[in-house]
Amino acid sequence: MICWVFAAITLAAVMMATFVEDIRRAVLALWVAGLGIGAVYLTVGAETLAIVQWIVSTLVAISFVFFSVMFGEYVREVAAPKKPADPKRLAPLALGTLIGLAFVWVIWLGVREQLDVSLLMPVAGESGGSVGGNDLLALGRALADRHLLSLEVLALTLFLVLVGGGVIARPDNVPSDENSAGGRASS
Amino acid sequence: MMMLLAGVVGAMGLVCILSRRTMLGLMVGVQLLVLGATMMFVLAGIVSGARIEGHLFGLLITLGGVAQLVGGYALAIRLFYLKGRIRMSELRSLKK
Repeated sequence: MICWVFAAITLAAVMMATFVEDIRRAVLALWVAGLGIGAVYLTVGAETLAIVQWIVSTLVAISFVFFSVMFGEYVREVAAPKKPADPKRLAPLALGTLIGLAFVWVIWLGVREQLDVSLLMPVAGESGGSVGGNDLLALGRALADRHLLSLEVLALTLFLVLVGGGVIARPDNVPSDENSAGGRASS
Repeated sequence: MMMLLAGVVGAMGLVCILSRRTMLGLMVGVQLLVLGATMMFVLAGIVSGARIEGHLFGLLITLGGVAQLVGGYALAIRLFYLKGRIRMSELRSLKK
């Protein structure tokens, strides 16, 4: 039953992250949604993934706050005056909602006759220990034996993103230290 | 019902992407989409009996979402460096 409580919290947080205007509250709601989904993982017996989800969600929320402060979006959206509903703004919202509902409907069509609630319960081994996705040895073996290519593609992607991010975010001309200090002072 | 929740999370991410006008709002939407996709893989793995595969792909998608976030931040920093502000309409200027 606790599973559904976490699901309800997640759903409320996701709705808030989507529809609230204030980016600060949206980021907070995104964090709560991540924690809620981690809690759902915990209740269905995916403890490893739950911990990873909590760590990633917290880091993502912190980075969102840092960057929104840096880019000025934290202040601007809070200080923005209330405007009457703009049809140009409502149109993509309505379109997105329709596409989202269609997405949910397609998923419902696919899974409505296959779900068995008992499958969502945590699985315990004969000795009471965790099995399946919580068995780190089995996870590591599966990763190394059957999904090594996926791991390597992910590693390469992260490496390219790291290097590419540094290149994209570089200054145009890298001046010497003296010029740099002078340029900053003059700007 | 749990899979429906995953679908709703992904759908709300889609709504967020389409309706928000700021860079960070867009990235919040993408993160919601990634959360929904991760949850879908994990639950699908559980109900289909391939528990480990579901967990592994959930892990890979989560880390892929982090890579997407870093790419988005890099673009935002570049735009902020060039223009002093971030407007979605000015993202195309990065191609020049």
